[in-house]
Amino acid sequence: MSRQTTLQIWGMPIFLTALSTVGLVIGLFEDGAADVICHVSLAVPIGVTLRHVGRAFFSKPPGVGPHS
Amino acid sequence: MKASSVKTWHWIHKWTSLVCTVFALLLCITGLPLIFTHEIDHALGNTVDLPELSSVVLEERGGRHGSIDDMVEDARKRRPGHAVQFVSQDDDEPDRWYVRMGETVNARRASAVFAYDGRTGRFVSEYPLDQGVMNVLIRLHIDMFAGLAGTLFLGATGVVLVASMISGVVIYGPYMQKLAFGVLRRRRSARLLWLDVHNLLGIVTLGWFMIVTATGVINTLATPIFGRWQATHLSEMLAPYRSAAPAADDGVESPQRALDAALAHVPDTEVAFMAFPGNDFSGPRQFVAFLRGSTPWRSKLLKPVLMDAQTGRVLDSRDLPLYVSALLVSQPLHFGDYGGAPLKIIWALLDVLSIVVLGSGLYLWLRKRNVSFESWQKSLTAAEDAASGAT
Repeated sequence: MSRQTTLQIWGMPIFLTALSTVGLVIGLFEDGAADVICHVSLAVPIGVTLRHVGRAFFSKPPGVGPHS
Repeated sequence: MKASSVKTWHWIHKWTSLVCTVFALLLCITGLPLIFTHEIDHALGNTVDLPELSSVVLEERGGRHGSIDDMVEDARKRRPGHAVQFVSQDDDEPDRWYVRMGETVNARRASAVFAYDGRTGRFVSEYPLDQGVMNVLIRLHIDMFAGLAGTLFLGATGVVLVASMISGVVIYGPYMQKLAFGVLRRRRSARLLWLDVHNLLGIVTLGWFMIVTATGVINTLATPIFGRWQATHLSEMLAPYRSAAPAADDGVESPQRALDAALAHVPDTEVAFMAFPGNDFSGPRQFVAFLRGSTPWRSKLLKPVLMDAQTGRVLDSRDLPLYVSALLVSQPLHFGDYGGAPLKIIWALLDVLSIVVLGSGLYLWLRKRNVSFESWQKSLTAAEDAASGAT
């Protein structure tokens, strides 16, 4: 695999960290819609983790299956 | 990044992590059930539901609130000789009030916490202090049963943990040179898989874990922070009244009357807690009520109001300095109790992920202890080349 660019290495981490921070703080300031934004923002890192763990552990490796 | 820099930062990460990982695991593991303290207390019967009141009773009272004076009188009967330290109103249930007693008015440990029904002033239940599972968990989490020294030690651990996270972020870049985001290399060695898990979970929880750790550190400074406020602002507020002789014809001390005056003085507020005369948070012959605002943000901040205990008159009120407000804001950000049940669940899940980060870090160190950094790097490069060869 060729070297990852800076964006490829740091894009998701920066996005997730910024999203978490905004989500955490916005829930402090307002109730109602802000609480929902807070919950969704913080659920994203959890979702990202589950997605990648799922891919690593539950998807079939290439070359398996009747048509490969 | 130069190879020698990577090695240096790797060394920094290893040593800062080693110093704090065991304690960080203790904090994360004890912290997990503590997120649900309110719910667990309820399930265990430590807190009791307020009784249903019939509409007849409520009509008879005509919306009159139960008197704090009655609550305090009842509390004193239950613990004769002990001092009332604080009266407080529950954050989530405005009809639930607490009276906290101590052997002396400034005793660090409470001798009793009684819950009262604010609608009638009647006794509801006594909180079982210093016993049970929740008590063990909270003592381990706050000070490892070692008092202020334990708390400050954990605070120092938190600072090292922040350094560990920062150094971890620095070496994340070099480790991810040839690996797409989120890839977990399952089919190579266990060590490689756990490295990938450690890196992914670590970077993904970074924002949350950094804030929880930093606010945790600030929370460990509660005693010195309040101590400074008492020595400066509170002392200044009390100065004019220190040398005043008590009035010859003193009224009866009435906490309810004093609190009413405070609430009238600062509009749109509720009381968080009120300190009784003689307590460090008040004056020798004064109450201090800490009032919180009614909007979500204002409810996290407090405004102290000084009242004369004998007459109930408001004497002074000053905004809290920034360093105390920072402590107050650090509390909800650390506990995760400001966004309802969904936030508590999210908090718990992120805590579990953090435990995996810490545990995998420990595993990686144990497996790598006798391997030089250079040969560790070589094995990683070989794994990457093999992976790229296969695609």
